[in-house]
Amino acid sequence: MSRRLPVSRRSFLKGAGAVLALPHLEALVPRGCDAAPPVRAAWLYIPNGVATGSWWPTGVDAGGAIARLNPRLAAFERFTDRLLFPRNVWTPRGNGHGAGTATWLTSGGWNDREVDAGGASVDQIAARELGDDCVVPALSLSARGEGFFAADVPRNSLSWAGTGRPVFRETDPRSVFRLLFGGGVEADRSLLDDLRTQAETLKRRVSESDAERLEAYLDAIRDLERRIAFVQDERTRARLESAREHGLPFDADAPLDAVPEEHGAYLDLMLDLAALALWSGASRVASVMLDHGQSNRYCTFVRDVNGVDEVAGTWHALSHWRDASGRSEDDDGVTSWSSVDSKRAMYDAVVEWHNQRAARFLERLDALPEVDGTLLDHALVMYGSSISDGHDHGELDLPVLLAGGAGGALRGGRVLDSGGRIDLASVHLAALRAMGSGAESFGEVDTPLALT
Amino acid sequence: MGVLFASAVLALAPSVSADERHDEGAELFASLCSDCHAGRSAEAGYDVVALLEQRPIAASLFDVRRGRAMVATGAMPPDFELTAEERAGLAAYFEHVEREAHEQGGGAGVEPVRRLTRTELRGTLRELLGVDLELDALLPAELVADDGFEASSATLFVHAQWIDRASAAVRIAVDRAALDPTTFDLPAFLRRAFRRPPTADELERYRADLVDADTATLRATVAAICMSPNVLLRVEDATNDTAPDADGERPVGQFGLASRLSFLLWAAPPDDELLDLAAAGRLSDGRVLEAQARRLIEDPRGLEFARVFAGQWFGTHHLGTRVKPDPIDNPFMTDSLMAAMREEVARFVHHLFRDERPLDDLLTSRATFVDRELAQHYRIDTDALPSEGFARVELIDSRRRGVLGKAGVLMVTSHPDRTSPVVRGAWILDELLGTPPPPPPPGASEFDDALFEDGEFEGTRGMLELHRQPTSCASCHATIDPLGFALEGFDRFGRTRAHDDEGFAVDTSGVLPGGIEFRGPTGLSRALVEHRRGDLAREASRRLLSYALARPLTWRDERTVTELAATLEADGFGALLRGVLASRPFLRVEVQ
Repeated sequence: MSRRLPVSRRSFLKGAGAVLALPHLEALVPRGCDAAPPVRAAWLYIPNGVATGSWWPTGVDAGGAIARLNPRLAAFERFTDRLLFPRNVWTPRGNGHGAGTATWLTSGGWNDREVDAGGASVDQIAARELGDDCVVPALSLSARGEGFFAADVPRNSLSWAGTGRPVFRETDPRSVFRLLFGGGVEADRSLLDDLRTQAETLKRRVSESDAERLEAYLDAIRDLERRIAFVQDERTRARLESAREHGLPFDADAPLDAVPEEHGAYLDLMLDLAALALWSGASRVASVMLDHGQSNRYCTFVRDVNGVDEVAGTWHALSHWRDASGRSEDDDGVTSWSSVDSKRAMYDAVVEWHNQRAARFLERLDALPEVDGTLLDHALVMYGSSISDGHDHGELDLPVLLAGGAGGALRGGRVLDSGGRIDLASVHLAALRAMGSGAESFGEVDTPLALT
Repeated sequence: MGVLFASAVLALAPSVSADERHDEGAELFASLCSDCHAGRSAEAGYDVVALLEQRPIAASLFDVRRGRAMVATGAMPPDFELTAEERAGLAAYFEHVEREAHEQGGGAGVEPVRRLTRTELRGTLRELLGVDLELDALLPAELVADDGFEASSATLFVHAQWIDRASAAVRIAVDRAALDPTTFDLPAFLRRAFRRPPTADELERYRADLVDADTATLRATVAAICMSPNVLLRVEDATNDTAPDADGERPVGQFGLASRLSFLLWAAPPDDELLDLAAAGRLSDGRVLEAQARRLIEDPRGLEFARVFAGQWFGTHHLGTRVKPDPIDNPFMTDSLMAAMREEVARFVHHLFRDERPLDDLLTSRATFVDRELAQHYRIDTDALPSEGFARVELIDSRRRGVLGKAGVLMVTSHPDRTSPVVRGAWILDELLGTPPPPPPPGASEFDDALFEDGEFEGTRGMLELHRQPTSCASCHATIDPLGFALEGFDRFGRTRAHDDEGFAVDTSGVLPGGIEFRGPTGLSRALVEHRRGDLAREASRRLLSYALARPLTWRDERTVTELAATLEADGFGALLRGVLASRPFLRVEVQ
């Protein structure tokens, strides 16, 4: 089927007298019209790296085609032909638990004192160019932090609006739902008008750099106004009402009433919300931190994975798997392991458990119907970590994978190994291009990774 | 401009110019380190070439200090020995950068617009509405960056979600407030809310809403005022139209000063007395400002300064949240006991400033503040204590004196199930002395198991001494661990003990670099006060200045820090606070 550039939905919407996003349901797009749904993107992050040998496909033919996935990625099996594994990617200007997390989506340089990850992250850049008709153009989610570093900026900041502006991440599914569909706004429209006028008055009086900070405030007010309009749009409601039919556990009239106790249910719910946001047209992109960059979480919820009954010690302690003494400064003083092998198996189990969450997210996308396929066909998902082997904080050959059809811009079932190191920026540039962005460069990189 | 001027003058001198000295040292630095530390893939992200290209040269100060610490501990260079000549050459270069920073620094610095913190919003609602609303469940926890304080323009970002939630908090507080349309004084309320007199336009807009208003309308208007960017953002000095001088600086306006003072000492907006003085143009009078500082710190709200400042400086604000022992295993460790530990540290630091105590008292003071529960924890006689609340006591057990004997500090520097001499030692180096140990090199957590299996050691101390054997660890841990060993007579809850976590008798003797021997917390405190006075004074000064300015310090502030440190060393904490209030960065602001 021929594919021409999608009609600008924005101009279509203007013609229809609407101001906000339309969901991409068959019912809303006349049959026979090939207005293809736009490519939407999601970035799913896990901290603490992946042990050597537990990520890359174990069977690859000479041409790079995948014959066998790594056993730790068994959950992805049915999507093998939608997966692309780029080798030798890295973030050359920042790595490790802090800088590596902060620069995963910017591929810029991390500067502690300036709280700067080297500029805006790929999700924000995409949202700014392509998300005009979305209510929350770039959705930013994260698991609640636990333990040390739960308040640390770089370890908790994947998305950046710009220098010194990490994006707020929602950690409570109820707040996300309210943000997207609940109006979620305390201030009403006339009050927001008033607040905007005051901020604009202030902005005229202050210095240039402070004017930028007031602009951030004005951006926030505009966000609130968009949310009011979105929730008042009857099509939003229609989409919500059909969510349950397609396996998403949401109900327009019954907002979520509690954060699930069980960690897996909690993460699945957050990922379901990301799927719903992309599907409903509320968001063009989403970034999800499945934990903060140096997670010290006790993953007691990981049971019977990778032959491990249950895991001991924190995720971060497990990632330093070659030292099983339990006596290092990364340890809690309580936990020790019987052997390096057993510790490694637990580390692998924690990663595999998170792989299962990510694979389930792909299943969700694949179950959501759109014109000409499913949401997965029109999605580009990057999943992985900012560290390779956690034990030595490896910074080369980062474990990442790309998934989805990307509207035809991604050819899966392959390992991509050009031999040389690849700046993660070229993957981000490729994602932008796949989404229809006119971006010519990302950071210092002007050649996108070839995804087809 | 200062740089050009300085080098122009020096270029006329017949001897070696500053530039030549710089070039020589720079060349040596680059030749020794750039094999690993250059360009994009520089080891540890430490790029010596980029560092040396910074102009003014002084701008590289903090990076230079990082390198200097690595060289001083012997951690760098890792695989060859410096000759005496190279060592001297590097030291001269590092000194040169310090001097440049001192000569060119000292400016006012900027005051970026920022939003209120959660604590400041709570204080604002309390002062404006008389409603003390717990905000922890309503607003997300603040993130912190390098400078360690929540009230920092580097991290107080504005997001739609924050405005949304702050607005929700405002509505709850307004609904609980006792508001009466017949007595409501709009101009006075707006002045307190905006922390400056409202403009005629502002007054008119809200006045129109309030004509014949009922209580519901008044509530809506008050809520709208409290959600204003003039309330939630620190912009009270935006109406200051004074033109900048030749250095690009201007004095902070009267109302800006009122807010700087009250947010520093109350974590809340200024009251009517401060606003009246600002309106009368009197706050720029140093004596008036000092007298107001005294009034604020003596007010019960003055404790809020110490709660926030000391809690975030020492990390004790994490007690009860991030640091929380299992309540089933440790039933005595109640929320109220942990709150008392936080409060003890706050009251102790408040006492240092309010009672104008000398620098030494930070480590050696016999005074502390306990309630009955904490006194029992310390095994202090409770007979003389009131049944409720805190009282000042004079400590008999000398180990408890000063900040190193505070249970809160000892707890936040322990692991969940044992003490850590390493964490405690690093805490002293970082928080008290301002000389944080460099991060462990990659692979540092990799203990050689054979060492443990074949070696013989006794207790925690023996274990740590054993693990210091690899030379890559020894250079730093020789500096860190002995400080922590001195505190091994305190368990992870800050109780005194005779045996360590492994059951061995504690040995609290240690040696400071330079061969200064000490024993126990009392000996360590005395050694620090005698031999590391300068570092103690600098770090305390640096923290207070950064907190007062609500921004991370830059190399330009180092000169002010040096001056403040001298004041603290000579005249104590009262003088330090007065010094901050009289400093150029507090009274003036750089206009960009």
